[in-house]
Amino acid sequence: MKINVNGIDHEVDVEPNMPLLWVLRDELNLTGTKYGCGVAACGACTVHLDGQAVRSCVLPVAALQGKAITTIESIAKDDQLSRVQQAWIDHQVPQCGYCQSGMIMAVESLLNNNSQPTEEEIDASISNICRCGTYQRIKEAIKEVLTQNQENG
Amino acid sequence: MAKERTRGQKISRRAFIISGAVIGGGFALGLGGVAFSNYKKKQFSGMGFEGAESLNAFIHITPDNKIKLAIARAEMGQGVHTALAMLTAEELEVDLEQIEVIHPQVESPYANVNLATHYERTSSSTGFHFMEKVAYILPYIATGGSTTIRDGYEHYRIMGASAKEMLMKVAMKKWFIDIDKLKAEKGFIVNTETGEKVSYGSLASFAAEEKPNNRPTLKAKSNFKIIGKPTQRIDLKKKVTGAAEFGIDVRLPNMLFAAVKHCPIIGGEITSITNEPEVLAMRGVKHIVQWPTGVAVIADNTWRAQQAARALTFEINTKGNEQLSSAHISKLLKTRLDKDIDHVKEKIDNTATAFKAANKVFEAEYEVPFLAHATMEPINCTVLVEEDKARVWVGHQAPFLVTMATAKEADVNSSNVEIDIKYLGGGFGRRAENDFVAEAVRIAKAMKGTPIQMVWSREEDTQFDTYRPAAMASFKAGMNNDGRISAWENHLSLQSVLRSSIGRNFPLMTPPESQDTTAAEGALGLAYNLGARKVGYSFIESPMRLGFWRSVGHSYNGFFTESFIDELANEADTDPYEFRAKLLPSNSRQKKVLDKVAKISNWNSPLPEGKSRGVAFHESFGSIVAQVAEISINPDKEFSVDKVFCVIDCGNYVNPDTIIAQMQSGIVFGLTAAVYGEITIEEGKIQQSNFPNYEMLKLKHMPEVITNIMENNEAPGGVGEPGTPPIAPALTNAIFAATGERVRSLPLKNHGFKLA
Repeated sequence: MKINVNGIDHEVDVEPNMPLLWVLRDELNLTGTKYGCGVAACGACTVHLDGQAVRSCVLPVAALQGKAITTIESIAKDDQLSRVQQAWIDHQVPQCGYCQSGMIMAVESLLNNNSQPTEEEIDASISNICRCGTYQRIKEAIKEVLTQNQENG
Repeated sequence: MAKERTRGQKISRRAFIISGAVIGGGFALGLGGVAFSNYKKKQFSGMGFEGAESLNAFIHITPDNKIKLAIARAEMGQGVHTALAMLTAEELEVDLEQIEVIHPQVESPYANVNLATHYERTSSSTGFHFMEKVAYILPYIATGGSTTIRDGYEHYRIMGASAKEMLMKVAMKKWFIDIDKLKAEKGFIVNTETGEKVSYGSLASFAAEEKPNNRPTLKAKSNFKIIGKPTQRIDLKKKVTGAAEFGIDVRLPNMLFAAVKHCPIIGGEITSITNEPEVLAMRGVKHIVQWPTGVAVIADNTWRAQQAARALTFEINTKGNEQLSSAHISKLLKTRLDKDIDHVKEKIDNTATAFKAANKVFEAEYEVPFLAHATMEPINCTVLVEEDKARVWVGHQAPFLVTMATAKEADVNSSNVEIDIKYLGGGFGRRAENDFVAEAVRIAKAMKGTPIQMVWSREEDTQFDTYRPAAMASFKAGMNNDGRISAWENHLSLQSVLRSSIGRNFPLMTPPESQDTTAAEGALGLAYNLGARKVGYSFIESPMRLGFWRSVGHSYNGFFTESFIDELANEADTDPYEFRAKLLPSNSRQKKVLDKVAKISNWNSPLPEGKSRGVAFHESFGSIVAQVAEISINPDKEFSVDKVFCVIDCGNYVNPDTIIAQMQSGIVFGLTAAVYGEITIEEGKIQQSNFPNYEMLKLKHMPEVITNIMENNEAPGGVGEPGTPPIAPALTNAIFAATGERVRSLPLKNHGFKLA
């Protein structure tokens, strides 16, 4: 089976119903995408499928042929952090950091699709779980990126 | 003070004996002479510090001027790697960017003496001073009890200052000038007369031969450039790019993966697997390992292992627990509560006499449920067992338990156990247990020579946890007509965390029932003037496995005591803040914290219809915290927590930005438990299994937390846990203020309250 991850084609010998998460983590050693619940409840496994945030722990790999998968590993380009990642550092968001790959992937997707989401839209679309309780700083970091978006027209 | 000194001398002697070091009198450093032991005889292996010169057991300098700093404390989100690096950098005069944190092996210099003795020092009882004597022998390397900064605040500065002195001595000889003509700056010693400078890296090999000064002069607080200033954490770039390596991210050549299925009946055992051939035939499955409480399937991919583990069918021995239920445990707790206190831990004057003289006597009972830790990173451990040695890769709060459990299970000498401690995707006390390490070693031992990563599914993580105990409390207070409290009785009924946890992890050290210092922590020594007092606990027995859960005894005692105090304020027809303020000694740190939270929350300002406030105050782990929760609530009991005002007095502090983050974190942790948290049991089984039925607070629920840190020159207090205990009572007190409904048991969802 062939899948395209971060712009690279990979041939993987797996069952069609194996969730993408485990192909990424155990077959391709892309461990930035995390296992949290296995039932699409926590969002730690969030990746992009053709630019849209999806929870990879329930996504059978067979459904992904011909689609572009993006993981946290390719969000920074040539060591240059994305604006979301930089805002995460500026606002000192992560604590244990385990959920933050998924959190950042969810926020990147939201902002790619809507450069000025309302607070209600942010609340509704970012349903990832963070057990350390970094939510307040996540909100502040998103707000900063929105301000930058506004300034950049 | 005299007693403290005697105990100190004992430790010093012990450390001296263990280390065999020639430098004595080191107790002031917290770790005896062992930390400086490189001078004559190394007391640490230096593993992980290859290619660097060791100036002491903590500071290792490479020729290219990097500082490899030994930190044997778990980075589980609380920011300790950054804080300990800040303490070192301040005195060593280096930039934080120069420091690389390395977790050393389980060796004496890195013992956490503060944690080892924590529960002795906070206990009102006497005796059981065993831990402080053996901290070095074990050595007791663990992260918990919000002790990292309390243990390291002076220690890491001394290490930095001592190493800097050694470097300066070499520079003095090099340039033949007085030390006062030298300046240490950003990793260089500068000759202030000539402007010449030389890097630490090029001096390090000579400096390592200098005799260390174990009492170097430390900077005055007013001269701090780093300590006390908001500082960016050193681990965050890795954590926003997916590069941070957690235990579950370890990848090794030829590695296999294991999934575990435990006996579904609490305390039960698996007697036989009934479909082993079918499971072994599943794709990728290599091996099945069985032990009394569980079965593991080893496969070439975690998902395949999980699928196979789910397919297992087996016969079990319920050990008579098939009828165990939450109702049954509640009944045990209530029956015990209604009898006299078994272990009275605080007694002031005669409460019986005081109750007789009181104008009014008020009583109430409270209850909280079992709770799971639910760390975001499910429990996991990676192990390679070879003929006479073993290696372990794991995120863990107690590496000394990792070494002990591995040596025992792999049947190798503990000196042949190598550990590699990774970032923890949350700890909260769950990763202080060795049960999962022992399982992983057992599994890996079945396939010697192959590294195996054991990962528990979220369901196993939830259902085979070491839970915060369910607990009940009864209170009785005598009040005078002026609203003062003249008598206070508090009886706690629960199962012992210390006996359960230590009994599993370290049976020899299991304390007697009378010495469980966690049971009543946060109920004893309250700063309030309560008149005559009698406070204590009684234990029940059950097959439940209990463990340390962020803030431990304080997690329920904060709710119990601050709910009851609020009820008394209402009985006295007094404002809840004024009532508390009157009970606290004037000019005390406690009173200042309470007054401050009233001030920043505008306590006396009116709130619009549908909004209310509640206040709570609690001391734990050496810090004092007061919180005001501001909520909106409608007649359908739908509510939101809009703001939380939080004031902490944690004495001298290191990174204020971390403290603010930890207050937010502790508040979310406590709110989640208050609103949703509940582990229940029916027919011997845990009813919750994953986030859909063990719910968590989410972004949309997040209150705005406004934190204020008190400025003073007191000894450092903890910050990882003290934010948690006050929030549940602050919230339920706000609910009472709005609705008149007093919530005496958690979680709130069981009373029809819904978080909007």
